[in-house]
Amino acid sequence: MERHDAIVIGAGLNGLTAAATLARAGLGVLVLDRNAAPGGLSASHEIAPGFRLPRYLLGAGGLPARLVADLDLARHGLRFVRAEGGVTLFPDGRHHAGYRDGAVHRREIARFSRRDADAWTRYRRDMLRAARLLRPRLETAAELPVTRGFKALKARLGLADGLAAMEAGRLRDTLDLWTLSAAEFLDTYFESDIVKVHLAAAAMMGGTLGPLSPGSAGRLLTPWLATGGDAAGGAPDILLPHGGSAALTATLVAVIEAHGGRLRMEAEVTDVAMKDRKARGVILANGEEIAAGAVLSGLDLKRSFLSLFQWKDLPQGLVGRVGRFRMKGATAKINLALDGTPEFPALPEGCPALAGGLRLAGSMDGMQRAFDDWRAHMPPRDPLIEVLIPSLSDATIAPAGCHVLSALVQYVPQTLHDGAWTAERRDALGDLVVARLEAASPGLAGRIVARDVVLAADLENEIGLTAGDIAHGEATLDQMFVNRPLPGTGGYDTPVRNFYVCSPSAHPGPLMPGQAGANAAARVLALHRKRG
Amino acid sequence: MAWGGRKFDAIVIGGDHNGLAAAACLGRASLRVLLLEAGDRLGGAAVTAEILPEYEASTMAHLVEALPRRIERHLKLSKHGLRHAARDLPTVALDRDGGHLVLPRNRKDVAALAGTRPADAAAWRVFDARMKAHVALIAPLLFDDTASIQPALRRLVWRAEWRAAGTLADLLHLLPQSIGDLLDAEFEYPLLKGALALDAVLGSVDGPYAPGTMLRYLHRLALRGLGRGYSIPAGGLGAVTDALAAAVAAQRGEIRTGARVSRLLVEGGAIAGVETADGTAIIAPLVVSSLGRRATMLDLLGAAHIETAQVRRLPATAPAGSVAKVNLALDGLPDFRGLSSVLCGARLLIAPSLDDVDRAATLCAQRDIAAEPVMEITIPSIADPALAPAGHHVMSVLLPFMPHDIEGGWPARSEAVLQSVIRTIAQYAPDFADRVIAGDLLTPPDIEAKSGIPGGGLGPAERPCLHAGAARQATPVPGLWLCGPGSHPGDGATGLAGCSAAAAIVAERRAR
Repeated sequence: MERHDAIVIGAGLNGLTAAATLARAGLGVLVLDRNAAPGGLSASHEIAPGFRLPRYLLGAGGLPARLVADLDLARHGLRFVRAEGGVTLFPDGRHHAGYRDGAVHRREIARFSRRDADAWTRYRRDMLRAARLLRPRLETAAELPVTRGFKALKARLGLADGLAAMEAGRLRDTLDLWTLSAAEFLDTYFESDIVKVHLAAAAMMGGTLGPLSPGSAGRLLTPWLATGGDAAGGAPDILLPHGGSAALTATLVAVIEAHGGRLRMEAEVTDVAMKDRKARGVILANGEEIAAGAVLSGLDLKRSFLSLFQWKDLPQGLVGRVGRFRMKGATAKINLALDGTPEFPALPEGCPALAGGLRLAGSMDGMQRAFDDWRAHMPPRDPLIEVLIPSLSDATIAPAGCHVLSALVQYVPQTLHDGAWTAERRDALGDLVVARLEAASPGLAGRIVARDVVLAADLENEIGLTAGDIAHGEATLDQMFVNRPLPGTGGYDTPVRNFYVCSPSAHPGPLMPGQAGANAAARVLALHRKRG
Repeated sequence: MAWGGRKFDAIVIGGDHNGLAAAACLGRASLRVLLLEAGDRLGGAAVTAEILPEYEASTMAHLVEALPRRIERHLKLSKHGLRHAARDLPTVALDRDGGHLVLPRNRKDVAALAGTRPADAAAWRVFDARMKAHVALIAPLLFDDTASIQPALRRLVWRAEWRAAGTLADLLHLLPQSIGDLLDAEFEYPLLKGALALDAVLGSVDGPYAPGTMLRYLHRLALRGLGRGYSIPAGGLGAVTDALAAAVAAQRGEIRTGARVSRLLVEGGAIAGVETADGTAIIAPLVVSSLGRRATMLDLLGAAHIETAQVRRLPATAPAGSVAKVNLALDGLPDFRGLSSVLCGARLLIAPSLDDVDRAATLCAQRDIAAEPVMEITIPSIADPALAPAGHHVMSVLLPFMPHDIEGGWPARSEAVLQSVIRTIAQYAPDFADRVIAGDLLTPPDIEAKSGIPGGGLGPAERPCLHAGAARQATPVPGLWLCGPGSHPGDGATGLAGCSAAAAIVAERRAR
């Protein structure tokens, strides 16, 4: 029987990161994926001949700088493009752009409020401070020692002392960040609605909380975790892989193969082979069995346990606990192929912030209302839309003079309260989004060559992501840190020995792309060394 | 130095229950206290007033939820005239078809529940034990007056150690959760889920599915554990105010109403006294304010005396009240279908399901109101017949999730809201509409104006904060303390914030 040191199920971003980390450490790794091409959620897709773009995600996400360095991706040819911080366009034609340069960014804010321009300096400092405190905790497991015994108790007391030692104001700030709503949190800094909505809209994308929901303030931190903090005093910059997410995937695959790892596509894992309640390998759909010392699952938590195991093999109660893990789809993706360059007359000529994404947003209340509609399982009436036109910075992905447009639509329910997502309703959503885009960019509707509407159900069917939840599980505090993937775990080990979760269903979830994979691999390596 | 020839050790601003409690507690510690109330009466949201000649009711807050025994005894409130007409009221979730549910308080109630809903009764036992364990863990964090958080946190870890393994992990999972998700996972009975959800979020604007509502619920359970459940004071909530005022007077404390404080006097960085609206300066080395953090710090003290970082941490706006109140005079006891006469005097909840509570919260955020609002009802005249003429009754209805700033404006909509309340109750008591002699609706802005408390003081408008120690009461200005809504350990008409502030002040003085 074929045997490997480690098998990674799923060739998504986290699975590949985990495999690359393991391969670089000298382990024999095999990556299995049921699709024809690697990439998973960040896979690329040709919507019309010559037009390529990421099908499921906006495609903005790179990897944290530290992972890029650790995996030596630059040596394998990956380059990053630094993009400015994105722009928000309001229905009344006003816009707010984010700039890396502090002076420029403050001048931009001062168009709406002078006071807010000063407040920006404080906001930025506080966010960088919070990100600096948090980042080390995201780069390792978030375990709370729960076992009995003196050592664990000492660790817990140490944790309590650590909390107590924090200065009262700092502790308050940290608690506020994770308990307040984004709107409340921004209220403590800014007065202009435009400034607040610009920040909140970016933070709400891809999440399952509204800007007025308690706990949504934490999402404001995400862009600051990705930046190195060298954004010259302005908005956090966005690192886009040159060549799009396809290039990132290809580079990771190159790293794995350069270090002796292997990828097998169109190999669907149906079962984890068990022996003595330990994972011993995997069984493929064609019946082939492959043995491995460690099995890492890049699938979401529900799919990992509920579909890869015979439930009777799992420890008592685990199925119930996994079942209670909340996964909710809240986004849809509209992909467009355009035979010309979309113009945005409301933006200044050649606005550089456009490269960091364009958001169409109204007001806090409007966003919350869209969120309320989603909770009531209604199709969005006034969706929050984020647009990226990757072909603006990378001419190779569309024919000359043409462009591809990626739009992430926020708060689109997975199921509707009154029936299924029929073809008409899918088209209606597409029309609504195109109408909103047309309002921002007159003439755009006439340039559409091809249109592709991807709903949560498509994600579930095509790549097997439960509920189409791109965050791999709701990222609220009761499912984050020590509570992710399951309450009291916070790590990558599972109740099944030799079986690990390396998807964002595990800590740190969607906060840092690829980090869950890298952390899980580090855990497997540590155990591998210990066991020899 | 003096006012009216007297010298004071401390000035308390605001004559609501927290201000009065703080003044009384400071008086007990032998401080000479002057309490200044801007309005012309005391009590904030705890008042008794006539709704019709001979019909009296607690017009705003209508139940004493958690007046801690400690405070009652410490301030000798019973000596000052506080009597409870009914103690430890049961809570009944009303059912349209008469299958009412008494929220279990003891084994007998659980057994009764098990008769109709065995699965839910079993789940309740587990749920109840789990909640009690966690309340016991966090209660010291909430109510300790120690200035430092470290001993409290260490004690929490130790206490968790004595309990089952994983208690701490369960607590960390529970605190940030939403009560809606938890109830969905544990129970099936819609009535039970609705009642528990309403219990957790009553008074706030957070819906039951908002993250962190479990913390609210545990906080509430912990507060309730300090008192003796819900009680109705004889003579309405005004009696609590009177007893507290009498306790202040008994300690030679002075109370002035109609005295609005316009600013705080600061000398050499420390508090020196207050100046009232008529320009009188009153000198005292200690000032305790129950007006709320933002109003005290920005409006009275002024930003010039605070560092930027601290100004930033002030809430941007005072939380807007979201509770309305309907007081009704009835010409007889309404006949709630299937409700025994004993339970008529209980705390009655109309919250048919979790979804109804959630919808009310969502609509409130959209500045609208459900056609059939959720509510908390008491008929205090059953326990305290003196409130109404013989055979007649007063009913008091608390309405959560009423938008402060309603679409279309309150004047245009209040009559319709009042009618929808009567219509909703009539679904449970068919003869209800005919029994109503008179009734009026106090909207959230009305309550705010009448009580003089930002947010209305009818419920915990702010999210509870787990122990930030005395830091929540103390301010960066020496001599200035807070005891109002939003200061530790949180609100709900308890007077606890006032007593905590007083205890912290006394502890600090002793340390010096």
